[in-house]
Amino acid sequence: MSKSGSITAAGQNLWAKVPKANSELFALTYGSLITELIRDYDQNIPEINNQLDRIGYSIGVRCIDELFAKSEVNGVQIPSCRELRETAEVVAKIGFRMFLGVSCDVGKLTEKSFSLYLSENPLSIFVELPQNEVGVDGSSSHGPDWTQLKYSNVYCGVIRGALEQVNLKVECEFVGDMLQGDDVNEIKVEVKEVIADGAGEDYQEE
Amino acid sequence: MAYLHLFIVNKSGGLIHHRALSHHAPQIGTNEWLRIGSTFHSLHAIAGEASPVKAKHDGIELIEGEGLILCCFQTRTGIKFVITAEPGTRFIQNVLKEIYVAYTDCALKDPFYELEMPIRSDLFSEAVNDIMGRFGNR
Amino acid sequence: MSKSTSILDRPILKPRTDQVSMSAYGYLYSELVQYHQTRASSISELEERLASSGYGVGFKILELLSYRNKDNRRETRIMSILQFISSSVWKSLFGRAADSLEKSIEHTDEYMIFDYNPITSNFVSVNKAVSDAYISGIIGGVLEGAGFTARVSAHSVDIEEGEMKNGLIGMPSRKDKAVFLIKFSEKVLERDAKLDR
Repeated sequence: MSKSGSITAAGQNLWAKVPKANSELFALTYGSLITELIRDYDQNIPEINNQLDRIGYSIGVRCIDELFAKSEVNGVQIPSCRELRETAEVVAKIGFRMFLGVSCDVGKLTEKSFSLYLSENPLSIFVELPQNEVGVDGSSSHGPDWTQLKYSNVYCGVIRGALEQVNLKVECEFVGDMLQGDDVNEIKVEVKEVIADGAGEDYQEE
Repeated sequence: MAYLHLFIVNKSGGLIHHRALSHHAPQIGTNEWLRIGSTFHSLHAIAGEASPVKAKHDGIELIEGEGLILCCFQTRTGIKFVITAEPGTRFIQNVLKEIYVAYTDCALKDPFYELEMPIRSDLFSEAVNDIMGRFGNR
Repeated sequence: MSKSTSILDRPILKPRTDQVSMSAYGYLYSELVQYHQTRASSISELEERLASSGYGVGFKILELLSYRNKDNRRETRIMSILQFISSSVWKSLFGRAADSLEKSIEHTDEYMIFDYNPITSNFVSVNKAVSDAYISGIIGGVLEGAGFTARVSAHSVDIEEGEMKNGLIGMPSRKDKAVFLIKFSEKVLERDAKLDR
């Protein structure tokens, strides 16, 4: 079996073993979080996007341990990821599969970046974004610019947080959003830096 | 053949959990625990540097002494789960991995648990008790 | 211009059987609690905020289920709305019916819904009842939406010896269960009594 085939199988294996929750409840709970943010941040869309990323980061630094821990006890070997392609595959085929039960594809792979494609998104199953308000004279909107809202930005934070825990500093961005009319959800991940392991530095021979 | 102690060190070297795993375990005071935690963290790092063949996740996996064995499982995120036991105790690696899972389920999802801080969760303690029950403490 | 179909055309009649992992829900809910915690100045304020978050979900789920429920009946009796909540609402959100529904013996205006494994306190060690306030809010939202004014609160009660229940796989068994206490207003009780005659 090809390496990427076994990563896909590993993801499905882990998904089969984890306890499940209803995705409608998941979507509604995320919705209540979004509602709070819109209210607390006064419809300031860029700030809301930031908050979603921050919340995602907090989840990311935690769920990565679960990915490793449950892989270990289930005999799933996560490769040491010597190439970015392997990292991308693990995030897409194991990460997204074991936590969300969805399939996620990798594309646009370069030495320092890749894209993740999601056609099913459990967060947005009940969502339609509001239309921008237009002024009486047809001029530009008076209310918030909803086209700027990255509803599922939490995923970007999750990926950023998770990869940071394994010493990979990345930037993530939603470049395609089905809620905004695109055909597929696309998250672009760009590697900024490989962080050197801190612990050994104090003890290195000069 | 018995499990003695469990301790957990976070990636910055802080001791975030310690407990006895059976009544065979000797009493260790709080200050001693803190010393153990930071000493182990340093030794682990030094061992990694001292290794003649460099590999990514070097460190200490096993220390075998006459009356004691110490087993360490380091996660890819830098957390070290360490168990001490009497020589001849089996399945220590399995126990360490199960405890890692318990950590992810019982501590990481608790909104009242702060990352990198000492773990004081009943749920986690119960989970470790259950693991000890399964792997038998003879 | 939007290329996707309008949300109004999307099918919602069939309940989605899709699932996510319990962990994903756990992380999301933990963030919601932490979000409110930073803005609450006390534990009781945290409880109120969580309940208020759940309230909106309650309204929505009532509408969704009423739409899906082919017979389109409107519940007008206390026992029937409570049964709707403890079975239909519970099944739709948590994948199973609530463990039991009881009427209080001491107080005529109180009813209780029991759950041995509420999803909102699955991964919580202390303050379980506080964490479950979200579900109190959901119940409250459904009741208000259906025209029954009530106060709902979450409590944690120790399980007695022998009261075994299957817990979440991989998690230690809980030593407590959640009780959602529903206290109806005078008007609702009077109205319900009149319907008896």
